Amino acid sequence: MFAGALAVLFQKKLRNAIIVFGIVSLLSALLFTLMKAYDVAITEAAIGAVLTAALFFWALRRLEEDGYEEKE
Amino acid sequence: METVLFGISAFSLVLVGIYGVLTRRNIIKILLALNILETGINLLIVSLGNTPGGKAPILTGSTAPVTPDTALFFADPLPQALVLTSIVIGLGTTALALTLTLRYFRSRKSLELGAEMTREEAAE
Amino acid sequence: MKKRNEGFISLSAVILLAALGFLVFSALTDGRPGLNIGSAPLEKRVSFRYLTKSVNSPDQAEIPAAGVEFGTSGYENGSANIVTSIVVDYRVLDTLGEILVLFAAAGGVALLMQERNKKIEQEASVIVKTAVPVIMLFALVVGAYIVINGHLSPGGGFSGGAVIASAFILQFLAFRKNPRSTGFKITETLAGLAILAYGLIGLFTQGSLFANFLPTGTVGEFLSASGIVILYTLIGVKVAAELSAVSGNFIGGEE
Repeated sequence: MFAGALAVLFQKKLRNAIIVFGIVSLLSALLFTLMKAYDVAITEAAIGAVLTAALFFWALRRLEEDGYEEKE
Repeated sequence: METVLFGISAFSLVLVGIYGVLTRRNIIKILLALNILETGINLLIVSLGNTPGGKAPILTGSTAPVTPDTALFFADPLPQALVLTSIVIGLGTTALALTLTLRYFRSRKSLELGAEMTREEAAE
Repeated sequence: MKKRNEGFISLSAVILLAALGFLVFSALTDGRPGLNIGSAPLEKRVSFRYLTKSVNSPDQAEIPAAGVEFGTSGYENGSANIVTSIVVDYRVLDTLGEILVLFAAAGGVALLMQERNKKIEQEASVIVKTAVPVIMLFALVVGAYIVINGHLSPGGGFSGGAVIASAFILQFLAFRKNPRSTGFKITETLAGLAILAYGLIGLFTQGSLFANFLPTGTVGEFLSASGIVILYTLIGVKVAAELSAVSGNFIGGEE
């Protein structure tokens, strides 16, 4: 988990960072299942992994329509 | 033992989240680090209520009756209920922060921290 | 824009985090009783009262000797899922605060979102347009099942509401329907008012907000637990409408 979270911060492109963030969120939902917290696991998988990553992608699409380009 | 393992894994996410909020320049990366910080804190809270070898706090047809003696073998249900609320609030915060980021970009043409406003926007 | 010294910032952040880690570690492994989190035995925690459904009794002599069993009745809260009983019955005022926060966030997004600057919009392909109605049907059924069975199996209003909202999001993306319709806002408002009305009925008939005025049935039946089904369904509808409205604002499109 430590390596996954560091990988989110040190990506060069923003789209890759959002995808790795989705993976970290899904792994945390798995960790919730191992702790026998089933309500929390299904809520984290539905809201954290899916809706938050989708919100980031829509925001990135609007930014690129306004003229955002990544440096270097 | 596995409670300690869960706790260390959750706390590492918290530390990486705080590091990301302090050192990144791009606002989207700061928001991603904030979300990682919130996920880490939720994991930490639920892991403090973990009972080794326990069962999930749901009564089904095959569980024994919950007497004052057998109640010790269930996982703690109170941290789970509080974290359920916290996950949904994190989503609301992220949505509002992304809306403000879109406005920030349109008036300054850059997603870095501390960017100057353009001449037309500053004149309003 | 001032120049930033990246190395200095990273180094000072790492030192700060090392100090924080040391403090938290020494707090969690402290040996003295009362300072260590794991030192409280489970009998003394309040979760013990939630598990044995004996919050209203003054001491442990009132717990029935046979304990809480699946299939019997007569408890103060008849839900089989104990986390649901905490969220919707024992600590329902926290859930009310969370509904308020979600409402404020959805309202803030609707107020602050700006118009979209789109240039060229592509139509969705035939595969997407054919598959989306089938997937929407499954998503609605699964979401409704998760919401309604909140007191018998894991799930509840929040995750079920997210699944139902994903059906509407698919409809926005595939068919470019109007994502800013007022139907969502009306549904959300009515659901919120109904939740408050349920609480006030409990206040006027039994003296405390959100009291159980419907009968608590047997543990494990569908029609049990005194209004948890009603409350969780209303919460699920409200959360689904809010998440659909927020996503519709983010996707943009014509009015």
